[in-house]
Amino acid sequence: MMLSSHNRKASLSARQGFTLIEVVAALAVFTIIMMAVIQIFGTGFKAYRQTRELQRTLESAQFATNIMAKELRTSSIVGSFSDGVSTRVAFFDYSQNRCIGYNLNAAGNGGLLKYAHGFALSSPDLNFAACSAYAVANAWTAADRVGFLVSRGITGSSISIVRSTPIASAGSIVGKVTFSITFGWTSRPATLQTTVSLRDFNYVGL
Amino acid sequence: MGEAILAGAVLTIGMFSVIGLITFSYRTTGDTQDLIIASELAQEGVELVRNVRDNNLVYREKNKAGACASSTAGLCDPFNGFDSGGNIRCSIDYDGPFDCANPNPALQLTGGFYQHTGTTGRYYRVIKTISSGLGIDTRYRVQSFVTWQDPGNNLNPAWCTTFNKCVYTELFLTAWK
Repeated sequence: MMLSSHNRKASLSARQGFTLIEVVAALAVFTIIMMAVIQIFGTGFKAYRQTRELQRTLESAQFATNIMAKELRTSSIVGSFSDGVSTRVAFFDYSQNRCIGYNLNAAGNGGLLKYAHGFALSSPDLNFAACSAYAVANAWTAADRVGFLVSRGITGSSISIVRSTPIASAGSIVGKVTFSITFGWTSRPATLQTTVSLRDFNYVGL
Repeated sequence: MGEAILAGAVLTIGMFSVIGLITFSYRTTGDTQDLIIASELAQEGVELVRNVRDNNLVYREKNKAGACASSTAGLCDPFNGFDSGGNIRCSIDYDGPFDCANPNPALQLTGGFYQHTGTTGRYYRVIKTISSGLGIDTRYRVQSFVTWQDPGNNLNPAWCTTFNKCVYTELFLTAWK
């Protein structure tokens, strides 16, 4: 069957595509929208990563704070390390019979490093005096390292130490240790702080 | 035309959902952060009060043959400086006295530590003490409240919930170690 001339023209008209300008305009709109979407998703993913990092640091800092507080509570304080750096603390933990040290601002990487001096468990010198002698005379070495409680993300730290002194001494007191750990985004840093009142009543003479 | 509007609507809803999720995640992390910091500060409050009691005990022990031989009051009282009523707000700094006369709830970061140095701050801490018993049986309930909003006069265990941006902890202290 032959199509009439009029019908053939109508059929061709119905099958007409887009003009070049329409295609270019559509592509431009699509590109702009896709760039906006990519930008939003990129920003969102970056924020997600930062939030996850902050959450991990927060959890690590809380864990470290609780471990330190638990150990300090049953200890007598020696003081800082032999190098005298103020963000370090050495103490003898009676509950574990261990000479322990913490470096709250481990060199360069914003970590919190724990040390434990390796006295032999059978050693008769395993006491506060031996711990004091060691901590005062020696720099804590890699051999003493237990590991990082927080591996990175700490931007600042402070420790205030009040050592216990026996009742026979002038100005006898029960000591306490306050420490704070700062971490988080530069725009909104967070500081975790706690204080431990020492329970070394036997050392004090109570 | 209808298809274009539909596509645009789906795209817009999708983008707003993503933005909403990011905002919610950010806010939740901030709330968790405040909660953890406040918990540690509340625990610090009771530890500092315990330290005051322990040092009062040391003073009594050191002077048991002298000033405290016949007296259990003043400096010889293990709870010297405590408020017995439970209605007075007290504050204590990590390096300061237990202050129930002129307490300052606001905590500010000063020199690396939270201290009661200003009148406003992100965190507020109030300590209340309530006594019971007499003599050697005297004991104090110590409550430490920390909020991350201005607490007004609302600080009590019933009000202090995470919904109200508040946490608290308590301990009992006796007249012996």
